[in-house]
Amino acid sequence: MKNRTLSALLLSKTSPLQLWIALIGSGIGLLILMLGMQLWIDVRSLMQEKELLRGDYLVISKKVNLLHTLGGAPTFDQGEIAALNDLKSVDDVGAFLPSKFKASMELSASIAGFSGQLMKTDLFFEAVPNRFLDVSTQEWQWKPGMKTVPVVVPAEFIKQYNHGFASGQNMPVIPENMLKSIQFYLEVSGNGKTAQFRGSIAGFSNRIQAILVPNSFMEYANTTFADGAAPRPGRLILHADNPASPELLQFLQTKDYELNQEKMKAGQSQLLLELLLMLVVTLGLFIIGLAMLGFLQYNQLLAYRSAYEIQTLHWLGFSLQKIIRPYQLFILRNLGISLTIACLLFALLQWLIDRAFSNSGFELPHMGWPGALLSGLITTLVMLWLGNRSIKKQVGRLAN
Amino acid sequence: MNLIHFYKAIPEPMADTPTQGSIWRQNLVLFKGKHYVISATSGKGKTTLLNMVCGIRKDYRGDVFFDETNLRTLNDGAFAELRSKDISCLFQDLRLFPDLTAMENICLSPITAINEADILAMARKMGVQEHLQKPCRKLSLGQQQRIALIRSLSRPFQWLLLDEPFSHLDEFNAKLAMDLILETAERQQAGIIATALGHSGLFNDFQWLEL
Repeated sequence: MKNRTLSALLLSKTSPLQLWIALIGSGIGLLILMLGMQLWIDVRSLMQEKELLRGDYLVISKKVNLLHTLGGAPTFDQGEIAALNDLKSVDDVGAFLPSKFKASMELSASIAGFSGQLMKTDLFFEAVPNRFLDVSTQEWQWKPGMKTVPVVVPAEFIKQYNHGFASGQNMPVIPENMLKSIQFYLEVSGNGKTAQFRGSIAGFSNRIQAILVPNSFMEYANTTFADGAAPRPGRLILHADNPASPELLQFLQTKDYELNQEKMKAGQSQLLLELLLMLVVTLGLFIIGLAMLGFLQYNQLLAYRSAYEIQTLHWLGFSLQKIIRPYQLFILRNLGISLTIACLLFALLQWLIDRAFSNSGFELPHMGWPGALLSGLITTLVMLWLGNRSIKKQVGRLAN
Repeated sequence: MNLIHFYKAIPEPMADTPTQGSIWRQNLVLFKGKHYVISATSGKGKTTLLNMVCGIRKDYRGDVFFDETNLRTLNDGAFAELRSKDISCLFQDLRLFPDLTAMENICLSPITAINEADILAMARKMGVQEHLQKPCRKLSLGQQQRIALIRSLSRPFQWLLLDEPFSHLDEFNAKLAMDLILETAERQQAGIIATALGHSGLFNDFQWLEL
């Protein structure tokens, strides 16, 4: 009875219209925040599935111009490599070690027997540090004295051969695992020496568009079949957290380096999407901020209108805690209402969005809703804390 | 709380005003169980003195003690507790809630010492029993003063502070009120500090103090 009289007395000067505006405002703010959070988490998980967010490997080289036709392709020196390594968005830099010797590949008639012709072609090798390679097998090793040299071939080559060259030249289509079992001969020469090796395909790389041999073989062959001086890399491979980072882009542009454009586009669209969602979340927070301000002022005004009652109750011996409690319950109830409004609208919109997506044959991963609810709950708790703090101060001021 | 001790106390706004009475800037002890009336013309600080005792005003020089406790050492919560259990006040401006009924006003207390039947008995003695269910804003000032008095008497107290308790009452009703005050204070063995504008026969049993 006493508590009821107390809260009726203190909360008698509410104005329902103002209150509902504040509640609906904070409900909508919470809703936008929750939707933004959910989409952000969903998009991230979707992109992570597609390996778009795990950082990316970029291969860069210097542009070749007319002057280079005489002096050879431009290369990178240690200073330039170190400058790239210093960039925040770059985790790791590796050099493509080029071969300085001549090499040719020969497929014996019995192996190439489909057409009965002997296949022989000149080629060149490159080597990159193993940590940059997306092929990892036990065969990928070579020590001096070993007669078989493992080779990694771009996966794209096989696709081009099977889907383009083979049909045009009336040649058989070869599956990847069959190619792995084919052995061929490698002839390496230079510096007045020639050596024969057996070659075997250790794997196919989606990442690196070059025919790769192990570093150890490259070093051995460059020493044995060339003058031994370490060749300067013409291409570099980088691992970047975010290949579309403005810092990296600007650096590459200033230095006039060339890079794989496709990956940049994917990175940029991801960045754009993330920015957009961040904007949505920020907008939600902004609206919540405004609603919170309105809500705090509403509570303060409510207490202010009851200044006489607050002071009299305190003078009659009611402690500040007892006087504040009805306000605290009032704030808790109102925030509960606004969170409920937000959750109901959130569920409704979720259903509508799902229906729209499934009509167009696309399914969202639904990873984000616990995060979204949590963000709504945390924001409500923060608002509760702020509301309690402000009403405590206001009542304390009015009571004395 | 057997005694209230004023030691060279003077309200801040009066600090530069010369005083002659027996309280301001004096060493005065008031004892529980005794009845005091502070008489002075308007603006001499009668209300301020009561407000100092119940912790509503703290802007004074000198010291005020409850037994050995200096009031300056008590915080807001401690004063609220004192006002809920040990000190009961009848405010000059009555401090009723106009939208609550007279009964609700009387019952709205952190601690109620007496039951509804006792409240009814007091209301009957004071001639306001038929007004108990009316909102206070509909009562006359005299009726409101009697309701406020019943509220202050229906709570536990060791000290009863009455700020011009009969300002809106005629002599007959003032006499009824005084009888009830003395009877209740006697029962609780409480001290009374009342204020009055001038001398009145109602306070014959009180010790007179000039401000």
